[in-house]
Amino acid sequence: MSTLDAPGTPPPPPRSAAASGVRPLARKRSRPSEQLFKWLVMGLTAITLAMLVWLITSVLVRGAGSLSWAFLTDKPSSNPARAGFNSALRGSVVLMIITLTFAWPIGVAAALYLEKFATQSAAGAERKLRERLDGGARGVRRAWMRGRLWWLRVRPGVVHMVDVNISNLAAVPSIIYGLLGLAIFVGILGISKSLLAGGLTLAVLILPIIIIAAREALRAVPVSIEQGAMALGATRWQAVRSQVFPAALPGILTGTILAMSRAIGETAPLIVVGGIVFGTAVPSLNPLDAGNEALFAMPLQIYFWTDQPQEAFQAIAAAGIIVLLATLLVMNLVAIILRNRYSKRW
Amino acid sequence: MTTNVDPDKTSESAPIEIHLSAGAAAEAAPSAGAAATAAPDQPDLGPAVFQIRDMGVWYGNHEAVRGVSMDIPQNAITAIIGPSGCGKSTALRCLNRMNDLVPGARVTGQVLFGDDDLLSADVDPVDLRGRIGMVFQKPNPFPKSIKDNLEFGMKVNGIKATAERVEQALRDAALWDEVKDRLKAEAFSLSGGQQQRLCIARAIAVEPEVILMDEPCSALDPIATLAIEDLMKKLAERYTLVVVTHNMQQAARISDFTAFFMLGELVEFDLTSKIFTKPEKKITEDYITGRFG
Amino acid sequence: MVLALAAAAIISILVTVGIVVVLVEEGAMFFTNVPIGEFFTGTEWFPVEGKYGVLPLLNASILIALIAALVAVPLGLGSAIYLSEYAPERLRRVVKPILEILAGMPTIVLGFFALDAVTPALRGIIPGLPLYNALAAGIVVGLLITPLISSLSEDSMRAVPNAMREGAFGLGATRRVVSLRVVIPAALSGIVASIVLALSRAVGETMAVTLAAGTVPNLSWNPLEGMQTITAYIVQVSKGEATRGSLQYESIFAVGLLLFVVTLAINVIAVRIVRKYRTVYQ
Repeated sequence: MSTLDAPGTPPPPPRSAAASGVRPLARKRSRPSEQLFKWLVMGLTAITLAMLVWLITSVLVRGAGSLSWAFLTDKPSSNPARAGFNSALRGSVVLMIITLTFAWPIGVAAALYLEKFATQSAAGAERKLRERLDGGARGVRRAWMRGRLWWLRVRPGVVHMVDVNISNLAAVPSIIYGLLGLAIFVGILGISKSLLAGGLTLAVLILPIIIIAAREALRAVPVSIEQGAMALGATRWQAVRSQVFPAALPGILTGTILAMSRAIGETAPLIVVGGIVFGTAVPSLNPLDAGNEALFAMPLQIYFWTDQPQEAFQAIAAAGIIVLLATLLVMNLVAIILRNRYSKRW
Repeated sequence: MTTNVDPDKTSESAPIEIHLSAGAAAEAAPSAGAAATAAPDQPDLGPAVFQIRDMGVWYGNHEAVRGVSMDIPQNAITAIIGPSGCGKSTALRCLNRMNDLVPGARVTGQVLFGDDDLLSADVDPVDLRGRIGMVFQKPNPFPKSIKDNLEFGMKVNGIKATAERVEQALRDAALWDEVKDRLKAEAFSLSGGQQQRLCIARAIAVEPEVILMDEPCSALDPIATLAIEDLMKKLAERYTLVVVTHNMQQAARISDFTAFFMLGELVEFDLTSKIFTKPEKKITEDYITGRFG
Repeated sequence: MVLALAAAAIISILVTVGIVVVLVEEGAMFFTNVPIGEFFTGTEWFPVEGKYGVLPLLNASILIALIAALVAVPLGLGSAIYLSEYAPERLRRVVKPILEILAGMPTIVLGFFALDAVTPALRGIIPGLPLYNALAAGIVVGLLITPLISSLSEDSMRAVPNAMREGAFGLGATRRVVSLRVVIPAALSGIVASIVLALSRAVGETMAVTLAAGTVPNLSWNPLEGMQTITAYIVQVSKGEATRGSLQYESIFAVGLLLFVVTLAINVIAVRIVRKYRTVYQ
């Protein structure tokens, strides 16, 4: 049965289904439950997106008319026609400066420690310590060495506790941080209900977020880079400082920007720490004066206006929201650009 | 094996051509219907379950399989061998339309299952897969109990899931004795070889006509492999098996017919005994003797 | 140098210690004036008259969280299933970040939205709906937590190995059956954990519920009424002029302590669920 048969011979008879006894295939049928389910999940997704669209459009419709340069430069007023967002903008700027100044170094330092130093194997150091102890160290030195040995043994447990602790802190409602700030910064430290107190409170709030983000960024750097530096004779600290940290920096900055965009939208902790400001002050942009300036911030101003009964205040509240959302948009875009531009594919 | 191969015909079969050019034999009518010709270059092997005509697979812009034509005989084990990446699994997955699930995949040609082209758009792929079962390379039982694994397929195909059927499927897969006391145990608690036999039992439970196997033993140890090979020989009495394997010796051990694939094309298809002793093409011989691959 | 870094890590523990100490200390002072029994069983929260039964506040927080869950679970799970099992990759890459926008929305915006758009719309359907009502609050908080459920559930579902889906498809299952009977059960621990976490977030929410549900305590299960949550109460007192050391001042720490304990408990439950029921894929 080959194609080399002489031309002109009739083709062999077709093999039919009867020979193999295979029954016919089922035709494609519409399964209503399949279609319904697909439409259901698509619909639920669409509804979620639609709600988002509704939110943004209603805010835009409400507030776009009140947006103007004057709005951004006027100070607050009891007359909605003249009330401006300027103090809130200034306040938010100062808050971010203070928050960043306190949260970033501590957060990154903690992340460096937890990710690169606290989790490293201690076997070598333990061995050396034991040798020296057995070799006859005395007095203070002996005590110090035994202390260090104990610490190396409990360290993994402590690190785990710190890990759990940080994740729990990230999930604590933000208003609790307000209570913390009120009791400690305002109550015990005596800072007045000011931008300084607000900034410190927000710093504490985003600290866990920065630690988590920085740790992720550090974890993404391959160990080979660090080990390569150490193989050349660098100490771990030198390797981390000169190789790992710079490599992780774009990721850390991205995470920081996202943490800041969370801080800039927070309202509740600021209300608790700072009360609600009715005045018409214009805070100075100098962070060093923050201890004396009343607590203004974009979300606070929006809340204050929303709370007013007059219709006109609702409109400028919406305008304030537009400014706040625009700020967030810019921050997130910067974060995304940073991430896309500098994240290397290892 | 129950195909009736006419000994006279086989011994004087004309030289088998390599089918490396596109669809020279695609004279079959485009609509669903019986093939107008037998698969060219293939001895008459009795009733064929699949009649593959000029089948091709495109993944996006990449042609993974091209111009495959062959007949898969009923109640026999057909092995598909070839070097890695030559399209064997891709071709196999066309037979139960699993390639439908890959976005960007396009299957051309015709595959007659009985009288119907199973690649045609008005065939129900879901129903098809209930009749053509598949066992995968890495055992993939569901994270449920052994019993639930078996009942899942039955329920999905409208078969009443009775304890007898569960037991029968497990017996047929040579797994019953090992698990009969712990049907409620997690499928993941079984060893690799047992899991694969569970997957086979699961496939059998839905009463298919064909079982496709995509390198079923490559993730298993030699002892488990032997057990599955014995099982396959037993299964061929009731089902038609098409087995992709990268292990030539396994193909030689268990299969009745072998198809050799290279670079997405069917090079040669014949009785296993012939392919492994006196292949027609030099490429086949080179592969069999290990000169490459 | 490393010591300095270690010190930084210790600060995070200090923060937790600080929170606990502050809440417990001020809370304790509160409870010297108001017996715990009355606090937990009293049904009237009327500080002006010295009534400190926390049930109306706790009830409001829980009711709104439940309404939020009723909104967020279908929306979130539905989106997760669609994005994980049905949507083409290109569409998914566009839709997923858009959903994240909802997650990053400042809650004050959601509160405004509730007052400005949601309640008026609801009033069209339910005549006589008061301006402050728990339903609108629950809806917007639900919107807030939907991305939480959607994102985490979708991650869990995508973590289910494709081989498992193929096994089911190979048996002749349809996509709906595969999604509901194979993928979701396999991803269940992650899905449930996401819902629990979302609940915790909803209970701790402040600005949206303050603006939408109002500042009048009301022990009721009727979502069409206004009510004051724990968080809204803290805001109300903070806006006012309660002097340090006064009972009102201390009351916000007492309810804050309650809130902290409740959310912490919910979070711990979530972690437990993940650990206990996680499917290990071999």
